Amino acid sequence: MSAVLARKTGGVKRSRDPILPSGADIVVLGLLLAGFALLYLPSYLELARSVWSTDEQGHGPIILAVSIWLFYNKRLELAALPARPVLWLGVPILVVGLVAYALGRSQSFLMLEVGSQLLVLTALILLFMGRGALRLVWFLLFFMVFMTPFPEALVAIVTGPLKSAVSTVAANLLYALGYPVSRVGVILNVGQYQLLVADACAGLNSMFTLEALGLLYMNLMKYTSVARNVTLAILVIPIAFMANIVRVMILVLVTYHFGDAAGQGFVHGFAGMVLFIVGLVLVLTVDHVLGWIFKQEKPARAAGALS
Amino acid sequence: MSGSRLRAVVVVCAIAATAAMAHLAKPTVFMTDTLGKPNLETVFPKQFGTWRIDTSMPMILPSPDTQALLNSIYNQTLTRTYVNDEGNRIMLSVAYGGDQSDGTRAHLPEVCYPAQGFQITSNFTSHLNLAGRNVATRQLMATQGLRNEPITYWLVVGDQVTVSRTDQKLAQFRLGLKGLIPDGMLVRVSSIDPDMAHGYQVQKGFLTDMAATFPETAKDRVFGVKFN
Repeated sequence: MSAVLARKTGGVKRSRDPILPSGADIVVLGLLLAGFALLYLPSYLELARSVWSTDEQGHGPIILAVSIWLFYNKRLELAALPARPVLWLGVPILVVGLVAYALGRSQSFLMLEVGSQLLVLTALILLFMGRGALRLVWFLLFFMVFMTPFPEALVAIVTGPLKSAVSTVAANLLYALGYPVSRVGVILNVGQYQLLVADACAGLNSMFTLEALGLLYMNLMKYTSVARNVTLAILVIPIAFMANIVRVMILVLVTYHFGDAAGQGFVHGFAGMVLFIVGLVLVLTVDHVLGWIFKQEKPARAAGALS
Repeated sequence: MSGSRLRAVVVVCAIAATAAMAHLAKPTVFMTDTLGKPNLETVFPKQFGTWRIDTSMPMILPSPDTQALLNSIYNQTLTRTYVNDEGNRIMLSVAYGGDQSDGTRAHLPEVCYPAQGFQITSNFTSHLNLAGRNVATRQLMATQGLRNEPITYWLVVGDQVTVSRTDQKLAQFRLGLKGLIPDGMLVRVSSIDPDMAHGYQVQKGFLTDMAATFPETAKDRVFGVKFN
């Protein structure tokens, strides 16, 4: 009976705690939230107006929304931690973060402006909660790296070889299946059609998105084995690569069988969805296989783990 | 408890000061307004040395979506093919944009050529002596199937010639901290030539001849301000 009651109150408590539980200073929290909003709300609006509407950075808002949600989920754990501010570390990080922000914002350098939020957040956590809290949310901060617009030069360096590799494998596979496919660089000729494997189709950014989703998945599954998490994080890279190949092959096949209009029309967007579905299915499969391999390790690790 | 409130007030003050500073330091003066918009059609001479505009070749226009992208980034573009007495052909392509901040800055050829299906097989920087200035240039070799296209280009950001994204950014910072929003002009010449060294020699001759007949007032805009 008492167990049922305890459970019930627990359930009620969980359903009605949008505000932090006792121990949280609403004034401090409100001030900090207002400060953060003052800095980054204009940045997010700027992003929404510019790069978020492009194919290359389309994953930005998803990552922002997921980050906020992850933070929100951690709020009870964070509030439960004893506050042990680390001023000597927090203050310099805050100064560097604010300088980066001022420079990035005033000179409209988005990478610096958006990237500075990682420093500012780290500094705020150190200044008001301490290292324990930072350990609790480090994943989140790392996750937010993916919403930073990276410099084109860097993206181009990685995208070039990636595109060639994706085009080569896709063309060879289709040729092996008996399709009249030939490839010149990143241009695929199929039948009377010519397709260009564009940056966005095989780009670094789709890799980022899939990697980010893989990390999110790992975080939600709460595996305690470090080896398992690292293995999965590394395997997401070839998975994203394969998903890109499948996407290109689908576009080539659609164009070949249904014409150019179909390949460039709604099917193009649909192939983007396929990219994520293939990626997700592969992540789940690989994780299942990893579950067999890391089975023995799990109990031993769990005993030593904190959470 | 009050200690953390005090800290929060200090932090928020620092944040507010930063936000205000960032807002005030935002450059507001467009260099294109103070210097005037160049008219590419008249600035670049139609005939010089032994070179003249080649009217025999039909102009190949970019596809509609490429043109839409170009229009969104640049205020003015100029595309011409020149031919000389020896029958060498050079394609000149100039793009001018009034705002070189992130969203609307010039796209560098080593990024746009691959986006159009070309592969860059060679990429290095060099210098040319043009209009009494030592102009930094970048040399590229772009290939697509049987088409080999040596390219020479440079980008003027405000008053400075830049040939890399980092240079471009630093020039934008240097001018931006003075409150200026730089304009940008990308000057690109290319030819169809499987021999990169030969192609570059022809392009060098073309650019030297062109610079020699350039109107004095337009030199700073196209070849950068002379730094001593």
